[in-house]
Amino acid sequence: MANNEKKIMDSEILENEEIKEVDELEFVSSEDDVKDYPAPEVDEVKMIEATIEAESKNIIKDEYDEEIEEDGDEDDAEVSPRYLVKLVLVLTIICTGIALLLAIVNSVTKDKIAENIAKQQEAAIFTIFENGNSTEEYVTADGETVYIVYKDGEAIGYCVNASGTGFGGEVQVMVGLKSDKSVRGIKIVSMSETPGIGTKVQGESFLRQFVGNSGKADADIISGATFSSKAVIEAVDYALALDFDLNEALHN
Amino acid sequence: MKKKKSLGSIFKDGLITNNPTFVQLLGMCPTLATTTSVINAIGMGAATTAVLMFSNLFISLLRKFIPKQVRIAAYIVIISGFVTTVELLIKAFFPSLDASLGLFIPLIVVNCIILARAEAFASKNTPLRSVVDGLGTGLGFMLALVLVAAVRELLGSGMLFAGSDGTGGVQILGDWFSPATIFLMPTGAFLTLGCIIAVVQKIRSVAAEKGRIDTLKSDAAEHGYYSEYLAKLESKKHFITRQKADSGEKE
Repeated sequence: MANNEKKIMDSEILENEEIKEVDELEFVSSEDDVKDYPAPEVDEVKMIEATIEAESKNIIKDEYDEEIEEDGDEDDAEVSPRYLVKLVLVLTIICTGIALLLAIVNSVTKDKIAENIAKQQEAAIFTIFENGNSTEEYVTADGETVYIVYKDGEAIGYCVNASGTGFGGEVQVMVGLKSDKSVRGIKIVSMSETPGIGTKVQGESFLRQFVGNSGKADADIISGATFSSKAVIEAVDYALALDFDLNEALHN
Repeated sequence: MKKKKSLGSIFKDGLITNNPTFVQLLGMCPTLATTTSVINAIGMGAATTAVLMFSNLFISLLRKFIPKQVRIAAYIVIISGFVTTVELLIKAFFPSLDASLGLFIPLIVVNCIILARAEAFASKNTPLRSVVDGLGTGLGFMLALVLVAAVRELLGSGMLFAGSDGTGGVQILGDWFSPATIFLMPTGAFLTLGCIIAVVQKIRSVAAEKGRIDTLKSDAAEHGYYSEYLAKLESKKHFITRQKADSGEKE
């Protein structure tokens, strides 16, 4: 009696186990494994057969399944030069098509992107010099572009668009300087630094360190964002070292 | 008699049943990285959906034309072409989104979801169904992103819908709530995602027990090989038959 009861209990457990571990069924090969499981009821098999029959009616029609026979032909053709040419041709055509698409999109968006960057630069300049009204582009003897900022016709300083090599690419910084070549303020124009980590250099507390810097940039690197911080410092160094005298330029 | 899967069920599969993030566990990197705010999540989801739909469409149109041996290279070229297009369009018309998502827009190319759907679905189905699959999967991805981002932004800053430049937003939780900034960092991302996946898997296992969904079936459907599912049923049947025979012999 006890054995039979145990058998029935085990078979109930087995049913649940089976449903969850179908993957392992395929690897049962030794008789020892099978011995431990008592025989399930006859209905089990009928149930599965019924499921298979029902599922076959609902099978998703995969086109791939119908094309399986064609694989054999392809393997034979693999070594033929004609097939290799086909491979090269297809890839070339696809690459050309995509290149064409990108050329079109680029020409459509090029001007708008340049406009956006110019807007950002101007916004950056007027963030640094809040009182400024207008800017004037000036090219120094070395060929560098400097933006002289005017307030009601009077020059109050100048800005340099400098860049440093950050973690993810170029970090563009607008550095605003007073006529005595000390930093009035800086603003990040564009960067591709890691969001949330490198982008911390945009924060006020970091940028504030540069105000009043003269000769050389003097700021603490943000821990965890060494490359991004160094990029900004590099940019400010560049702007400070730029050979440009505001008063001289105005007299010319 | 074989009947085709309807467009509605393809869409629902991508959106919920085979959600790329919570069920298939694809595209984890952008999920963790871009969900610091709901607006970023929506932007990222929209960009990925656009790329998914167009790449699925073109790969499906060219499926008989691309030889098997170079298919991966061809797919990558097509996908990166569309990602670059999306990137340029975002740079031109949504500069603030570009500033906040930055690197992760070009990284959509290596988002596993796109290549997985191209390989498992678009290369074997008609263009219309591929586009619907792209739409469903993309929206499923966006749904997942928004869910994770909502939790992270709410617990991490007490606000929702802060703009992509970090300003604005609606204060949901009042001053009594002191924000747990850890949720805005990678640690919080893992924690949030892990908890949500745990809940989803629990729901799925309960539904499987009740017989409402068959996890084997959906696994087979994920990879597009329904015939594998039938093969598994066959092997199960053989195993039980053999068992019976063996224990019958022993007695």
